[in-house]
Amino acid sequence: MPDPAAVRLGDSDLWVAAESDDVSGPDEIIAGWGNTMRDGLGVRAERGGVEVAVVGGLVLDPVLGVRATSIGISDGRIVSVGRAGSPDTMDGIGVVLDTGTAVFDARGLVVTPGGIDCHVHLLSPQVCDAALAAGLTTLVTQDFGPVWNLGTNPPEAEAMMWAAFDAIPVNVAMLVRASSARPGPVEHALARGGAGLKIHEDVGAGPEQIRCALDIADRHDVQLAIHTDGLNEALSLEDTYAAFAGRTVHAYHIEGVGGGHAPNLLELAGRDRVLTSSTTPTVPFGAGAEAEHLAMVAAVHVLEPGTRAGDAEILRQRVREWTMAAESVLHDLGVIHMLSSDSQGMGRIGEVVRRAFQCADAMKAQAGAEPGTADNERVLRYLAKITINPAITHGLAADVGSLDVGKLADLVLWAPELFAVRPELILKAGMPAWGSSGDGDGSTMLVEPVTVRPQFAAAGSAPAQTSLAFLAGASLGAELPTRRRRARVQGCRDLTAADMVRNTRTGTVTVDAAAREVRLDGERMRARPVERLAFSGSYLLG
Amino acid sequence: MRLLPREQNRLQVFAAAELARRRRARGLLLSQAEAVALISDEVMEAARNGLDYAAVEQRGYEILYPADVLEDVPRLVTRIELEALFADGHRLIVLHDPITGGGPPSLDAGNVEPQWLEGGRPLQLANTSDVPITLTSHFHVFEANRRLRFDRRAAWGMRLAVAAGVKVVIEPVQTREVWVLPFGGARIVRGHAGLVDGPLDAPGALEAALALARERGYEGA
Repeated sequence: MPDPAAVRLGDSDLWVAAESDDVSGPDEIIAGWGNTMRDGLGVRAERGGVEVAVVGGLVLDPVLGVRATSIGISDGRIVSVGRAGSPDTMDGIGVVLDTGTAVFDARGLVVTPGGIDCHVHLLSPQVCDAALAAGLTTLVTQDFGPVWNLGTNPPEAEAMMWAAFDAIPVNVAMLVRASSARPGPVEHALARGGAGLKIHEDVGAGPEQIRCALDIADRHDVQLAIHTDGLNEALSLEDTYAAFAGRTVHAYHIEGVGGGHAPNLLELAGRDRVLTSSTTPTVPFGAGAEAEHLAMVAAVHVLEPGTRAGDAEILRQRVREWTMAAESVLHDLGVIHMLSSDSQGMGRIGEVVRRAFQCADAMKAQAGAEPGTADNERVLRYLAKITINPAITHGLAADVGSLDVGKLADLVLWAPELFAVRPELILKAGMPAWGSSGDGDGSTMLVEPVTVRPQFAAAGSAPAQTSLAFLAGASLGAELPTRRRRARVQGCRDLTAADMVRNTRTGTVTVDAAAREVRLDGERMRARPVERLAFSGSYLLG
Repeated sequence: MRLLPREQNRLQVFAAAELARRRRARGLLLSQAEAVALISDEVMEAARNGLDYAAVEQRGYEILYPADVLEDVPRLVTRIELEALFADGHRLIVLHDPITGGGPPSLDAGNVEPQWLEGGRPLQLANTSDVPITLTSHFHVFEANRRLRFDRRAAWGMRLAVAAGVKVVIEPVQTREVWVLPFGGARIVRGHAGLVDGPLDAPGALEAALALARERGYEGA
């Protein structure tokens, strides 16, 4: 039976319970008529408080854990976490409120860090709306519209994107195309607004490109995201791994249907220096995944199966339900570190958060509950995959990825019953950027139709004030058409699986195509197709 | 038509509700969004039919029952706010747990008595005025309305011994016993009614505040 104090997330069987409580008690801060958020009562009459506070929520954070607490924000950054109120009249105050503090009332709500999607093809600006509406506040991006680029090059395009981003309230780190056997074109782009590197087999993922890119990554302390040689044309999996030469990489869509060595890309999972992510359509494993991907791969990658020789064969090699079935288990065991979208390029950005917790729920149903308080450990493990781990991997973690002191105050407030599906409010640097909002002519702010849409931090020039430009050191001082504060990408090169928060398991993954099975340290990995998908049909119109 | 944004929003509700109606007609159970849309639409149309506010509000609780929706949906639809156009203009209706037979909070069930926190001490407050006086949880009782007669000295540095946000009403010419607790923290009071502006425990602070209270006509000072 769940802990009686536990909160159920949406329609799932995931429950979270506060491990500490800085909210309830006789000095609780309550806004409204005759309540405690008044001058000289629950808020100090003189300054000394934070500028903005998110008060009274149930915080789910991969670093802080599950805590009923409040968050203090000044200058867009988190400056305190603890009990909110006035230290003049209350004991144990960690988040000082004064009469000039703006308060977001989070009582009854769940608070998470803004999500991070570390695999975003910006093939259209509509991707950003879908991202924000889903609770994502940081995007690690490639491309600049409907262009065949697989990175963001050239500098003219980077400049155009920085100019465009100033109207969009998300933090951005742009990866530049590093499918190049020569450093010149790559460093040219990296120094003009880039934050990291991307190799994609559609434009070249051979040993020379890998070596060249990792040399650049080492020189500039940025991450290399790689989509490996799915054709095994120049390299087999172990050749690719050898080309890494012990240097850290981020391996995209590690199951392989998104691309990469067929059929055994998954063997890169569990290795110390390979940080791994999945993309949304295969997680959790579902009955329609294989059929969908036969259509999707052909549509996205310009294949003509049945017409052009070889296309049907490579398509069949790449789409394997049995490696998809292993992927969800590897997530549950913490072997795969991150979940991302591959937006419009074989994944749906609006479901990054949903898919993470759908997988958590599906795996609880199949593997059973874990020891400890409620489902806290499992929920936080999956939360880490879409927040702190992509932040660490791409060198963004000094600024985003969790709610500990010092980070940018990018938060998502959720009603527990609508968790992961319909956010109440998305705060960027402590300011309301998107959220559930009703008819503008209503007498209250939640008159139907309530829709998830932009708030003031998404209007005018506010997005640039509330969002960061993540840049490689080489481009930190570049002349760029953005008014954003700049944040340096750093700490990418010495990372190992041990740095992946709550997802640190390593081991030997073997892929046996003849037996159609995947093993981790000899143990067979195979999830059943999800039987009851949470955070989905109970809510969505379609 | 020169439709206003509000009217376009009305159509969005209608479109979602119509989708829900068609799905219902096919025998399907409704999701959260479908249920909210259908209830909202039906309530708005009840007003359009000319029903009065109470009848329209009541209608909101009679549109969907747990058997009409997917298993978890009653729990997911906790509150719907909508505005319907009545003969006297738009009016807000708030539905509470509309699928599980909730209803508007009752104002007729009698007043809720405060739960006094432990560790307090009693104080008799007499309202000498002709209006109700309401004290809240974190107000410095010492500085309460000058027409309340009580031992002000005993209320120095005290707040009501109630949970945050609880209110205690003292009706005109009535006396009520309340329980009070000392403030915590640094015990600095500013604002309130202006009798104190600093540390409660500073030497002479109480006597100075009592003198000011007497000067300003505070009962019981």
